[in-house]
This record gives sequence, C-alpha cells and structure tokens, in this order.
Amino acid sequence: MVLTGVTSKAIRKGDAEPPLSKGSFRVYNMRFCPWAERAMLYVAAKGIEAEVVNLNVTDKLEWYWTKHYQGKAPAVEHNGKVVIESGFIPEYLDDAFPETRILPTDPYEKVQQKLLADRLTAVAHAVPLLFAVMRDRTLKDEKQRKVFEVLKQAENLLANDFYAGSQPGYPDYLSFPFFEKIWWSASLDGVVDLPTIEFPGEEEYPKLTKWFQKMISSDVVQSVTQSLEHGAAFMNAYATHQELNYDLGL
Amino acid sequence: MTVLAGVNSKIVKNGDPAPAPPAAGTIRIYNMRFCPWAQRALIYASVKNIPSDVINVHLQEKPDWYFSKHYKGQVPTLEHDEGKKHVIESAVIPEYLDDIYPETRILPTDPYEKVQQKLLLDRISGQVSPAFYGVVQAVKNPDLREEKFADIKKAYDNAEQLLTGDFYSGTSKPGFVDYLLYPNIQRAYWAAHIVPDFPLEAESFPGPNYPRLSKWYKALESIPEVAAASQPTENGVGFFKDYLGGSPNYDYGL
Repeated sequence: MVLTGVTSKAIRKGDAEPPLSKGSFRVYNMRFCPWAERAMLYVAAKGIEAEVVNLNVTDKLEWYWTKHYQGKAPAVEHNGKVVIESGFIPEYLDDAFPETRILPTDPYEKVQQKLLADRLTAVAHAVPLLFAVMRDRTLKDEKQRKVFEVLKQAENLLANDFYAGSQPGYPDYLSFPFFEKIWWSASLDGVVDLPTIEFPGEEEYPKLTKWFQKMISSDVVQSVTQSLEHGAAFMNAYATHQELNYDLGL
Repeated sequence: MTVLAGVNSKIVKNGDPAPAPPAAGTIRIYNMRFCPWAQRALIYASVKNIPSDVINVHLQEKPDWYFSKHYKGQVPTLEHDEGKKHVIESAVIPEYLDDIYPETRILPTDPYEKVQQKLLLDRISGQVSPAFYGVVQAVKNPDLREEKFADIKKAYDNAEQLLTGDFYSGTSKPGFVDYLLYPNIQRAYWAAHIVPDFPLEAESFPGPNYPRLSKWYKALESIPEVAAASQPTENGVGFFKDYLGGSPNYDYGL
C-alpha cells in the first residue's frame, strides 16, 4: 500500500498542522471530492508513497490557507513545496517523478492526451445536473437527457480499451472520478435511469461499460475510492444542503 | 522583421477553399485578429521566433473544412508537420511549442517553478477574463453595471497584488504568464477607450490605482515581438465598438 491515511478522520478548524518529515509526501484530500480523487489516483498509479490528510472543507483549518489560497482540496506537499489544482498536479507529478511517468514523453502524444482529458471534463459538468435532480425529482427527465448525451460523447471518444490506449493513463485517471459520481447517483432512487450493475449500461455504452468495470476493479482505484453506499449518501447530503459528514462510514 | 506571415490577411469563411498544408519548418496558426485567446499563440510563436503562417477564420461563418482541425471550430488551432498535426487550446499550445522548440523555451524547466507559472496564469486569467466579458454584458444591460464594474476592479486589484516584481515570471524578463495574460489585459485597455465611467483608465492604463500593472502593461506593449502579434489600438477600439453593437467586422482596418 503506497497511500496511508486514506480513511483517516478529517481534520478541522482548531486542529494543529500534522508534522511532515523531510522527504515525505502528503496529499490533502476530501474523501468524496472527485477533484481531489484525481490527485489521489495519480499518486497511487505512480506508486508514490504518500500520507493522506483528509480535510473538513466546511470547517476550514486556519493554517491550510497558507497552502491553498481558497482552502480547497487537493494539494500535494513535499520538501516544503505545495502544488494545488487537480488539473495541474498530475502533470507536475510526472515532471517531478519522471521514473514513473504516465503521460507520454513525445510532445504530440502528450498534448493529445491532455486535450482528451480536457474534453472529458464534460463528464464533470454533468455531475451538478444530478445534484439538481436530488433537490427536485421533477427535473429528472430534463437533466438526465443531458447526462446521457455526455455519456454518449464519452463512449464515442473511447477508441481503445482505455482513453490512453491499451493501459489506463492520464485521461482515464482524470475523468474516472466523475463517472464514479454518476454511478453513485444511479444508486439513489429517482435520480437517473442508469444501472449500478454493469454501469453505465452495455446496450447504450458498450465500450464505456467495459472501461468502467476495468477501472473500478483496478488496484489503483480500489486503493483510493469510497464505497457506493457512502458516496451516494454523501452526494445526497451535499446536494440537499444537509450537514456534511466528512467521516461518513469511518 | 516578424516571423509571423499573414497576421493581417483577409478572413476566410464558409465556401472558401481549404488552404494547402503549411510548408516544412513552418507552423500555421488559425486565428481571428481580435481574439485574445488566439493572440496568445501568436505572441508565443513570435517571441520564440518560430516561422509562422497565420490564417484568419470567420467565427460566425466557419468553413466546413475547419472542423477537421478543431472539433468546435474555435481559434486558435496550431497546425504543423506539413498539416499532419493539430493542437488546440490557447493555454496548451504555448507549452507544446516549448516542448517541440526547446531551444527557445520560455517556461522554466524546474517542475515546481513550471507548475507555479501555470497556476498563476490560471488564477489571474480566471478572474480577469470573465470580468472583461462581464463588462461586455453590462454595456448591453446597464442594470448589471455596478456589479460587473466591481468585478473587474476586483480582478485588477488581484492582478496588481499578484505582480510582485516587474513581471509575473518572477525574473527580469517577461515569461509564460506575461505573454499569455497580455491579450486579455489589452482588451480591457480597448474597452477603457469606449465604456463610459469604466473603472480602469485609458491614460497610463490601467491607471494610478495600479502602479505595477501600469508599468507592466507599458513594458509588454513595447516589445516588438508582442506588437507584431497584436492589433494596434485604433483597430482594436474600432472592432470592439462594432462588436458591442452586435456587428463584428473581422476584417476591420484592412
């Protein structure tokens, strides 16, 4: 196990900054945040030994503002350096730890994978539509139509077993968390007509269904992710503006 | 003498034939003369001294063939390797140019310094750019003026605060952030000539409330390679007037 503390209790306002020994690597995370999960997946995929510190991002720590000017997750920290933003951390990790590089070294192949990941952020933008349905079930037909369009586009963009080719890579790790959030939503009643078994459905999305099964069952994903049950419950609480339990299930 | 050819070529639109592939050793940039995003690519190619062929694309009457180069039909698109390779996205193209032309690299090679430059651009541009488009909305809908003018003032206050030296590169010379940020700041300069009661001043732009940013803007504006990739003020202001009126003239000034 390269990541420790994945299921540690979230720290909050008033808690002291945990010491980070020289040479050690830390990821500041929120267990159910898809953006933070991108960084977690990339760290795990690269085999970087890291300590995970989970944050209560509602009751924010004072000292954390010096690491992230918006107080958000994710951030990665090592040797006194902090890097933020889930869209920038992965490539930074490949540059800083090139021996386990995931992105191609060829400039054109590299840029095409980055652009593909960028196109797949359409999946990220589909997630708030499902939050809207959790608040108001009458919006389901309207919102899920758009979600289905996004999934169809994602299906069309998948040319091989993985977006990166024959093995998972940069676009796979950066987009997976958002597909997972749609999967979590599918387990809630009346939110979106998608199966939770063989998600998102072999009939409409054959390649994507195989891709998702491979991703969710991989060691990398399993080492960082949360259960369907707890993930769905957290999403529902977030969508309906209930008090958030960052330690749900612990 | 500029390495950019065709910066002021006439716009191509639907019905116009597809151009021949760019020659070996030349990159092509699909542009619109007044687009701040495409200008990023032009500036970067100019400063890196890359021989470049510019084709201006009509953004409302896009040629069908253009969608084979950019799936959304937007600008900029970089085309090279005799037409076999296409790269899109204004923040991605410059980094790619540094990768394929490393001898004139602008971004730092140190991983931490490099990512900090990208984060800084994202942070400033992420405020300055939407604030500018907010002003465009406010011109059309005066009810929004107070809110949108406050937004752009806040964005520029932030840009001033984040400029801790002469340049955002943190060195004595402009860098990635400076070159990529300049076009959007220039658009606000154009707006300052037209928009009544605009919080940023055209005189010593953006004005006395932004001492470091004023020096920064003057320095960037004066770089020949940046000027070669930019439209002069009279063209920019003229285009922007028409644009605000709903009738953009992509060949304004030609």
